[in-house]
Amino acid sequence: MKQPYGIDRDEVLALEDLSVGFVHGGTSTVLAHVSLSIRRGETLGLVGESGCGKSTLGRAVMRLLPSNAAVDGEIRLLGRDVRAMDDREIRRLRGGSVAMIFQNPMSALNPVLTIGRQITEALETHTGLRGRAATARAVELLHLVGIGRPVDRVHDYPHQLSGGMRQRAMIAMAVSCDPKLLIADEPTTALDVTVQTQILDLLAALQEKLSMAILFISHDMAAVASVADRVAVMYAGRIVEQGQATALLLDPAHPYTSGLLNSVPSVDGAKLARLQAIPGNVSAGSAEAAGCSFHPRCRFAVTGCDAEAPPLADIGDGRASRCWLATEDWRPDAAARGLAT
Amino acid sequence: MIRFIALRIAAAFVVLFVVASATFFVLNLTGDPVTAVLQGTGASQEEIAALKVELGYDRPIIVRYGEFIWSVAHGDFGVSIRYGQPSIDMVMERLPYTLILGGTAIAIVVVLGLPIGILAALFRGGWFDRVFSAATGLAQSVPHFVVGPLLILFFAVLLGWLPVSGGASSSSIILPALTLALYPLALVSRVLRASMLETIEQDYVLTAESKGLSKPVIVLRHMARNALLPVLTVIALQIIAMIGGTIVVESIFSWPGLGSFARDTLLASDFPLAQTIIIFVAAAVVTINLVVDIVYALVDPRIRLK
Repeated sequence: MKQPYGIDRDEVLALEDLSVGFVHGGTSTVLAHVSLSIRRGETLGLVGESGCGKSTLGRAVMRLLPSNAAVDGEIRLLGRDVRAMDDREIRRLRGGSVAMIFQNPMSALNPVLTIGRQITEALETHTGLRGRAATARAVELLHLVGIGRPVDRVHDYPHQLSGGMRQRAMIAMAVSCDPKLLIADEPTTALDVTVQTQILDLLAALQEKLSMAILFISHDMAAVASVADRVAVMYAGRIVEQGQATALLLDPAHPYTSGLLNSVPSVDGAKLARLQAIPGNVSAGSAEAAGCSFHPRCRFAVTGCDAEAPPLADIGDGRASRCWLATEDWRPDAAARGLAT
Repeated sequence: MIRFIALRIAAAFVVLFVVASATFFVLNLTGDPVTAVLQGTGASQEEIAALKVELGYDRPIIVRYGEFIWSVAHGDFGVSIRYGQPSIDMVMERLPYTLILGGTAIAIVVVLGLPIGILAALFRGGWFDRVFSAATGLAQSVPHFVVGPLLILFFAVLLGWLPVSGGASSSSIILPALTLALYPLALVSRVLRASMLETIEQDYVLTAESKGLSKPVIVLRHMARNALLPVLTVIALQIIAMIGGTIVVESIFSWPGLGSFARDTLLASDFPLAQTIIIFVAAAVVTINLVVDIVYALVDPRIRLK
């Protein structure tokens, strides 16, 4: 699984054993030994509840964590070690080969600068474009992301655009310098449902056109299902399951994934299926707790789950599950039906 | 934008009319100025009555009010009872001194206060920030009438670098301007520091960082511009407060401006002259507010009227 340097030319991002903690008084671990990789043109969906560390992971890749963050492990982007880069190199990388879009397009755009200016400043930093040429390119980009009358919109301020339009402008800004990786941190969460679909379609279309990889961070299983090629599920700072999107979402192997999927409302025929919430919540610092971090909330927990943390075990078909019960055949949904009867 | 400015200018004239009227009534309802000025000078009752008739103070107040508004609207501010000269000329003679003093103080506040506030926020908790906190705390708690004499004692008497008072040489302005600027300088830089610390947390700063912009660009283009909005209001209020400050500071330093003159005039009940000074001060306040509104609209696009 682990590739030596420079062999896999399609690898865009690789995290090896990445851990992040925040120091304030003591240290709280937010990410624990996370390894994952994204290949060119691929979309990796990173899902989990709020506070599981998925946004921290996105920011760690761009070295945008606050100064009290303690980072350990390797972050390899296009074959280069991000953690070893000096300030100039990291600035060339940000907005250049890696770009980021955020949850709330309302607050992520600067209210006192025009949309056009916020795009051209990225162009000025990473491409040679300046002045009129940069503005012309900004207009093209706004057109590319489906904003009507871009020649006028380029002079608009964020408050003059709707939420969906703002997120489109944000995306235009992010893709302006042809990134190889786009980190989308909950890009649809703050938008209403019809707009969400439009934004997801736009991301998929842009990905094809620009052949960029996307790290799609979300707690919205439906959104992840519609865009991701592969999915990694995070719980309390660790990846608990990963695999191909369709297989993982249709046939989850980890009790937590199964719980997440069962908590998505769905209409099953005519009757609305009953929602099943996962009892409890992610407790702070549970990444360091003894045993499996999910066992206090797990309905399948057996003796031993609270003693030692399970490894991320390979269960075939490129899938892995961090559960003592995980085998090629064991599935929580089937086991739950067994428990019920 | 043109419409925005035109509306504000129209509003400014309404304010001036109200101020002029209020001033007229407040002054004239306290009694008649002729008696107040001539009392104790040995003038007889007949002479006082004759001067009242000559200056028109024997007529009903409403008639005098109409006449006052009419002449002010035509640029005629009347004649000083005490000096017998057109009051507008007397004001115009002193106004430039106050404008230069105030302008210098404002320049000190802006040129020093903005960078100091930004630096204190960027190096929060560092030695610069700690010195800043102590110094601004001190500057904000010492009044003009203490700062002025202390500055005179140190720079003029002990060191002999600067003149003690007056407006004769070009270096005379330094001490009064510093005295006037000290409090607003401390306040403005403190407000900017707090405002900068708030913008550091904003999402758009993270966006700017994620675009690979350099630190100076992020600080000046993205943070400072947003952080400046509350500071503008404080600067405007401080400039207006400075008008009051000039009365004290000009008196301490014998600065030949409008501030010390206003004090003398009001104490002497010279109504036409006092009215003129008050209208000019009101006009200054209105103009400052107008300028601030325009600057606000330039800095924050959300305020512009469509």
